[in-house]
Amino acid sequence: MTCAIRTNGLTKKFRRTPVLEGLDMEVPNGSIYGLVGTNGAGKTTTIKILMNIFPPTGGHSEVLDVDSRRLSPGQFAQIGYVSENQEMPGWMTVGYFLNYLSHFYPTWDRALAAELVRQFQLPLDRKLRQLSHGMRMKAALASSLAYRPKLMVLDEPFTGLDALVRDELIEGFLPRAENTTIFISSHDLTEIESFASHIGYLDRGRLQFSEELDTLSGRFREIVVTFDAAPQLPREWPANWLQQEAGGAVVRFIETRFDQERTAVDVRRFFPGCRDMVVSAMPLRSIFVTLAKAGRTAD
Amino acid sequence: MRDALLIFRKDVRHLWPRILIVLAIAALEGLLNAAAPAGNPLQLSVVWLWGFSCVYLTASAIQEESLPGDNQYWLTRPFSRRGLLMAKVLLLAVFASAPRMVVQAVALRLNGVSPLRYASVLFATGVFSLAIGLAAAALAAVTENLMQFLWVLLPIAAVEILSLMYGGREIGQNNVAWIRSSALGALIVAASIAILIVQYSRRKTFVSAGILAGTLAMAAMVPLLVTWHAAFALQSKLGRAIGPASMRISFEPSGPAGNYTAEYGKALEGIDLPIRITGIPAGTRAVSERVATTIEAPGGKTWSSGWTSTGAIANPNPLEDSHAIRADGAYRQHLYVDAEFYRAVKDAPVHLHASVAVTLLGERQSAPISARGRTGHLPGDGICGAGPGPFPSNVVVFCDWPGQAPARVYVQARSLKNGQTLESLLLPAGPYAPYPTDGSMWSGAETMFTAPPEPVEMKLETWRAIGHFERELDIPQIRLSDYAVRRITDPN
Repeated sequence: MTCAIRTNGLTKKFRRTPVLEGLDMEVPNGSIYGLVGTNGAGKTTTIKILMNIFPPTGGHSEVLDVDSRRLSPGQFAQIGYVSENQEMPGWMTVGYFLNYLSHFYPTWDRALAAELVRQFQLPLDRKLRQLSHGMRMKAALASSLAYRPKLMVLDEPFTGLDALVRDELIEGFLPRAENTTIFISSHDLTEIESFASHIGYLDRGRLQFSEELDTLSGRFREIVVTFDAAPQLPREWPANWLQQEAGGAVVRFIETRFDQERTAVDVRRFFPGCRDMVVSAMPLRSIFVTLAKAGRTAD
Repeated sequence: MRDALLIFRKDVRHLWPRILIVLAIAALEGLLNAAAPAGNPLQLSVVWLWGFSCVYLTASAIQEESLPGDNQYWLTRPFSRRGLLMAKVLLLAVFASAPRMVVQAVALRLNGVSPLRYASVLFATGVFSLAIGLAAAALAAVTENLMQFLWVLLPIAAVEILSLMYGGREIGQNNVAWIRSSALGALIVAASIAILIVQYSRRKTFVSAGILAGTLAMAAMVPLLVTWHAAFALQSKLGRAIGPASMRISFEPSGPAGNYTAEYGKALEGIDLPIRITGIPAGTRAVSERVATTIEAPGGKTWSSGWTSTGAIANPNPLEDSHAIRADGAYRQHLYVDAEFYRAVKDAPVHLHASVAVTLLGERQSAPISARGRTGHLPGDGICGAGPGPFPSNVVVFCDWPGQAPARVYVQARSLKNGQTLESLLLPAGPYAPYPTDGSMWSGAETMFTAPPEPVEMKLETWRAIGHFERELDIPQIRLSDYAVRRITDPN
C-alpha cells in the first residue's frame, strides 16, 4: 500500500448539478494532505464519498486499499473522522462518550485518551451538548486519536474556532499522528501551510493540482520586472504567467512553473529591454488566491 | 452481538425514562386484567396508551443513530449496521414485547387460568407488540428526528383511519374482520422489514420512502380487496367443519303469514318471506351472517343488494335469539330492497334469488353463574360478573375470556319462584379469529336484561363456530308486495 486514499475519475452529482467531475487524487501514506478550495469546491463531498456517507455518481475511490463503498467496521476502526458539523450525541458526557467508543476500537489506548483529555482540558462530566464548538471539536478529535488511527480525515476542522483553540488543536493532534496519514480539507490556508506535506487544489469539482507542498511553493513565484521606460507588453502571455500587471516601468506577474534559469530566459525573451528582475517566494495563501482568481478569470 | 449489546446498554442508559413509561403502562394493563378483566372499560384505552408509548420508545431508539442524513457521528465509527439493528430489536423485545407477555401471563395466573394453556395467545400479543414496534421502527428509519417522525406519522394515521372508516362500511365490525386486519398487519410487517433492511444495509432513504408510499397505497386498498365475501369464503375454508350438505332453505308460501313490523330508512323496503329450514344437525345451531339478494323483474329490470348485513334469517319466537336457527322448522327470511326498485316491480311476478351466508355453531357448553358477583372457571376459562343494572329489575352480566370469546354466548335466567325462564345474548359475539388482532389478551361481552322474579338461578351457555357456508334460496316467481314488511309508523 503506497496510498492511503486513491480516487479515479470520481464524480458526484446532486440531482443534475455536478459537484465533482472526474477527480483523480492520490494521498500518499504518511503524508499530511491538505485539500484546499473555495466554499462549494467539492471538498466536503469528496470526503463524504471517501467515508462512504455519500455514494459516488461515477468513478472509484479507495481508502486504506478498500473500495470506499465497502468500508466496514474493520476499516472504520483504523480511520479517525472529524468534521466541523458533525452531530454528536449531545446527551452523553465527555467521559461516557470516550468510554462508550473505546469498546468499539481494538486499538483504543486508555492512557493516550487520558492524556488527550488532559491536554485538551476536556471536562469529563460535562454533556457534549453543553460544550462550546471548540471544546466539542476537541472532544471529537480526542475520540478519534485515542485508537491511533492509520488515517485521520478532518473536514474543515478549524472553521469557527478562535486562533488559540486552533493552535491547541494542531498542537494536540500533530505530535500524536506520527504514523498516521492525515487528510484535511480547509480553506484556512495559513494553518494548512504550517504542517501540510501535500496540497491538492479543488476548484468547482476539479482537482487543479495535487503535489508536495515544497514542490508547489517552489514553482510559484512573484516576479517583478523593471524597465527604464514603460515596456511594450506582449500580445500573448505565457500560460504559466498569471495575474499580469503593468504600471509605468514595472511589470508584475505570478510564475506558476518557476525555474531559475528557464524563467530568466523567458523573461528576457518577452521583455528584451528589462533592467532588473526580482523573484519572491509566495505564501500558500497568495498561491491559492492567484489560482482562485485565475479560475474566475477563465470563466 | 457484542456491538449490539454495547449499543443496547447505551440506549437503555439514555432512554430509561421512556422505557419506564412503557413498563408502567404494561404493568397497569396487567393490574387491570388481574383485578377485573371482565367488563373493564379501561382495558382498550390502556392497550392504545401502551401502543403509543411503545411507538415513542421505538422511534427514539432508532433515532439514537438516525439513518437519513450525512452528519451523524456514528456513520464513521466502527458500528456494524447489523449490530445496530439487533440492538434496537433487542430493546423492543426486552422492554416492550416480553414484559407485556410476562405481565399478561401473571394476570392470567391471578385469574386462575394457566398461562401455558394460552401460550399461543400470549405469543400473539407479543407478535402484536413487535409488529407495532417494527412499523414504528421503519417510519423512524426514514425520518431524521421525532418531529419529522410525527409529521409523517400523523397524516399516515389520518389516511389509514379514514380508509378503515370508509372500508368499514363494507366489512364492518363483524366476525371475519380479523382476516382484513391480518392482511393489513402482514403487509405492514413485510414492508417494515423491507424498509429496515434497505435502511440498515444501504441507507437508501429515497428507496425506503418509495416502499413506504407504496405500502400506504396498498394498505388503503386492502379494505377494497379483502371484501366481506372474500373474507367469509376464506373463513369457510379455515372452518373446522364443512357446512352440512343436508341443510336446505326453501320458500314456503303456505307458511304462516308474517306479522313482522319494523321501522327503517325510507330508501329501503322490507320483505318478510316465510321459509323452511331443514337438515340442521343435532347439537348444533346456525346463524345467518349476511345475505345477497338479486331480483329480476319482467322487462329485464334487475337489482342486486350485494352482500349485506341488512337482512337475515329470523327466528319467529320472540323469546329466543332472533338470529339463531335452533332446529329444523319454519323461519322468516328478511330482505331489504331498494325502495325505488320495489315501487317499480312490487306487483309484478319477479324472480328472487338470495344467497345466505351461514355459520354453524357447535361444542355447546353450559355452566351455572352467580346471580351476584364474580364467577370464574367457566367454559373457555371465562370469568363472568353479574350485578344490578340501572333499573330495579335489571341484571347486567359481563364476561371475559382469555384470547377469543366464544362465537355465541347466552345467559339464561330461571326464576325459582315461578319457573319463568329468560335467555339473553351477550354482545359483541366473539370473532372467528384464531388469535386476537387488537393486541388485547382478553375479549369480553355483556348483556343487560330484565330478570324474572327472584330468587333466580343463572346459567352461561357458550357456542363455538364450527363451520361457515352459503345456501341458496331461489324463488322463480313471487310478488313482493305480498310479503312487504309493514312500517311501525305506517297507517293501518
